[in-house]
Amino acid sequence: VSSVAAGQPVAVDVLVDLSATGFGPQDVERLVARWTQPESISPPGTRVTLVAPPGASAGEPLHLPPDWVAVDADSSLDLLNNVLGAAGRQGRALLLLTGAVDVSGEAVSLLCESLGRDPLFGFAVPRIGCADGCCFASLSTHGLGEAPWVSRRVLAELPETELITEFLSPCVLIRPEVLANFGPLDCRFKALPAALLHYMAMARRCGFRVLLANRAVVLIDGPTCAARTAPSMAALSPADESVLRQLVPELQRGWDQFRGASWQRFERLASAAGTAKSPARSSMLLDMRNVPPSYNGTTQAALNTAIGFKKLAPDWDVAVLANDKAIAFHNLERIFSGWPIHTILPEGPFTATVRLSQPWHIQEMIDAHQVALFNAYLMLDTIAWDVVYPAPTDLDGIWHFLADHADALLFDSEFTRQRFLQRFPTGAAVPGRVTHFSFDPDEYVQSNAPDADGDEEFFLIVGNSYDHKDVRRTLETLTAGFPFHRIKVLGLAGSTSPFVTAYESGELSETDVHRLYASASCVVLPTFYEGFGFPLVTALSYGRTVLARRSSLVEELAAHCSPRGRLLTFDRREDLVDLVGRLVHRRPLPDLPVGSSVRHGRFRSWSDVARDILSFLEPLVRDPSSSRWTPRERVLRQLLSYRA
Amino acid sequence: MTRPSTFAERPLKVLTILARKGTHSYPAAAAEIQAIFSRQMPTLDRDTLIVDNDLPAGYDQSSADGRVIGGDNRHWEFSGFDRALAFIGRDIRKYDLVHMATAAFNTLHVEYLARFTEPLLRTALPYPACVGHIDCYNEMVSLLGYRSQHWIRSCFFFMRPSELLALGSLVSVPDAALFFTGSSDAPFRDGAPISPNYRRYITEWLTGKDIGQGVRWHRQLDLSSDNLIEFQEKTRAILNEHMLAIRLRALGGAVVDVTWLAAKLRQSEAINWRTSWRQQLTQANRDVVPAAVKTHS
Repeated sequence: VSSVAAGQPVAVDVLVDLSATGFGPQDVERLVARWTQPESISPPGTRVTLVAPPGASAGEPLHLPPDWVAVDADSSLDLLNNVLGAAGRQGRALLLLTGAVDVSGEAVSLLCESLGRDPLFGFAVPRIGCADGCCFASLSTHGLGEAPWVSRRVLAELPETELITEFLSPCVLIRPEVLANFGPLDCRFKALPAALLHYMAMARRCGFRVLLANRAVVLIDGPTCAARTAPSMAALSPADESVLRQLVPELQRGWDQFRGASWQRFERLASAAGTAKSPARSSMLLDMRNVPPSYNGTTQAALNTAIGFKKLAPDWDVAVLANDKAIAFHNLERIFSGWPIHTILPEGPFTATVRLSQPWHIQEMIDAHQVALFNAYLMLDTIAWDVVYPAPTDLDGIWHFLADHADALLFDSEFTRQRFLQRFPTGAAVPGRVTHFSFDPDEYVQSNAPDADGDEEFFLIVGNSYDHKDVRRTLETLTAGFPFHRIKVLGLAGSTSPFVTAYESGELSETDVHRLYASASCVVLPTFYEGFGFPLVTALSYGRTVLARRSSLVEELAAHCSPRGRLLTFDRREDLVDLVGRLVHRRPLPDLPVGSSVRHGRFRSWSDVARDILSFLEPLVRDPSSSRWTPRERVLRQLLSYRA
Repeated sequence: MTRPSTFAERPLKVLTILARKGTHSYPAAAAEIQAIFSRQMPTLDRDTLIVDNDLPAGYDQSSADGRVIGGDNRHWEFSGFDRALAFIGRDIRKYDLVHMATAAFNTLHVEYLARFTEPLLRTALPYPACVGHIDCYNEMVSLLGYRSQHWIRSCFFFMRPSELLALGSLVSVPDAALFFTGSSDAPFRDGAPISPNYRRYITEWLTGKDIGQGVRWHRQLDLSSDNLIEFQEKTRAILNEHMLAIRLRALGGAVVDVTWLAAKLRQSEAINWRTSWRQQLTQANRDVVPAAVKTHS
């Protein structure tokens, strides 16, 4: 048995199976005329066997070149067995064509060359292009069933070749060594597709694999990519499928776990862009699973950003993924009416996913990877990683994965961006953008808020029970300095002082919280660490005097906030007492400038946030090569192998 | 089959990659290309990247003709093209078409250059086509296991970025040892993956003979030990040029003769992008059509 060697001409027999096409004599002769062109499949010396549909040569005999043999048959199985055997005995490769395939001789030679690279490359299959050549059919499991067309530009994102398991194609080149050792086809199968898959499996069980040649493209007559999906090129009857699965129990596992399914998914996700003739609208899945059925900073950030998208009515199809309780609590079906709301991961494909808060579990990133080529994440802060105690298990590994494999990172402030990149420097290579949230006072102030609480003056301390908010110790300091002044505290379980009113997080309605902001004589924000700082923006929107712990974040945000309020900063709690004292006695204070970046009185709104995110994503998703999907898939396979 | 496109949209964005080896032999190449575009395709939005194989890697300067970068002369213009493509990287996708040219583009039967127009390029844009000037041999040859008879002149052609990216390196014959003995007496190695008639064509062409088409190379090499290296390098350039068309055809792309396409557009005829190169040449009223091709059609 001769072998296939790279760079050397290979003797190839050809079997053309038109038995299932129903073509008449004219169709058959038109195809034969194409296949006998000098640069096509049958250079001089090529033995070609044509299985014509029954009756195709019922009238006059078909006009064929001398090396061609034509047989009418409604099944090619017996004939294929003969041809397989003959080619195998004589050390020739076999090109098996099924249907009206336009194959260039160069593509066949490329398949031969590909087989020559490794003695255990048993079968080579090309990609199938649409009739106009602008798209190719994406992979389907084992080559069965329909598959979306994908733009040809995606070919450049695929490796030159890839080893997969059993795969049917209208064009298959079979290695001489396989032909010599694995025939005939199993007679238990009624039709060629199952018989050929079984044949490939038998060869594979001895080491001979299928090579997908991504730089060889053959065209099929008829179907164009005007339809989004390429027609099914092979199917199994239930009886054949049953026998096949019995004889090859590892059939599905081979596809799923040995690269076939990975590339199939990649191509399916790439098909979200539509085709050259039928481009699809961009689509986005907003992942809001981290939004709880309550109000907190994450809720405010994620919900309002999504509402910004809704107000913007972008030229994208948008869907929401959220948990049941949050959907009910926030009435998401009403807010986002017209958008699909999912509680389990939808099939997709989407152009992009946008996680509207940090990922906390690797599965959240796996999910995003499963449904879109582009996965963007909105980083609200890095507090959990820094303070450790509330962080989910293995957050460090999770965010390392994020920094290494996200397609896009959004940050709610430059302060957050710097904190994240300082801790995860590889994230600097990820396309990123700082997208501040809304600063528009009209989107923070509630018109019914200022009525409450009468004339009584009080300081308002805002925070929650997390240590970095520093609420309790700040309250202790202030009550020591101003023991008879009324103080109200948001985010504390309780207080023994009769002058202090403490409210636990979630205890007050949103309106009641706003009443406190609207009525306080000053608002104290003692937090050490934030990513954005909604309380700061809210208090300034109400025109309050804010005393905040000094940080570059406070300065960054203040420049964009409403200048109707005052902003004072402190470094130590003791300084706070001094500041408040000066404030109470109306003595001069070193105000921090507020609103210095606001132009023409126009404040950034939530719609601007959404617009900003879209303007960042749109150029990114236009170029599939900028997706990190392929290396991410490889790493995820490694992770999943460990988990299994 | 498609009708010629007549849509007028934003200007096509084109990147010219001009490969040269210094400016001694063809000092006006960039200006001549500019003149062609100004005359025939004035509305294109065009950038120029000149890769000069006489300049070292890392060289990067702006000039009046365009940006000039240092090249790689190991495989002549093909390694130069590769260097330019690596330099431009992913930004190549910003362009609708890439125009590849060598400094010697304006020599030997250049009538076809006048056929390039913006409407013609727009027509070809949706298809995986390489539009340029098809050359051919009188008979089929074999190279690296591929059989072929025609190619696109690599000195002036247009292709979409996606096809260039899929093709990868334009150097298809990197290894001289696969082909050559090192002796001028019998330059091709026994068993080299190139057919006897192809060896003969190359040898005769490079030594100034007519290979049956009534034309000769503008130079003439004596096949001697003094010229052996140049013979080998020129041979590899010929083979790389041929392999570009072969690999594009394997990729399901169309090799399109600009003169044929221009004639089709002029006649407002439907364009079948799968028209064989033989039919293209015989239908194109080309300046040179080998007799052997005519008899095949």
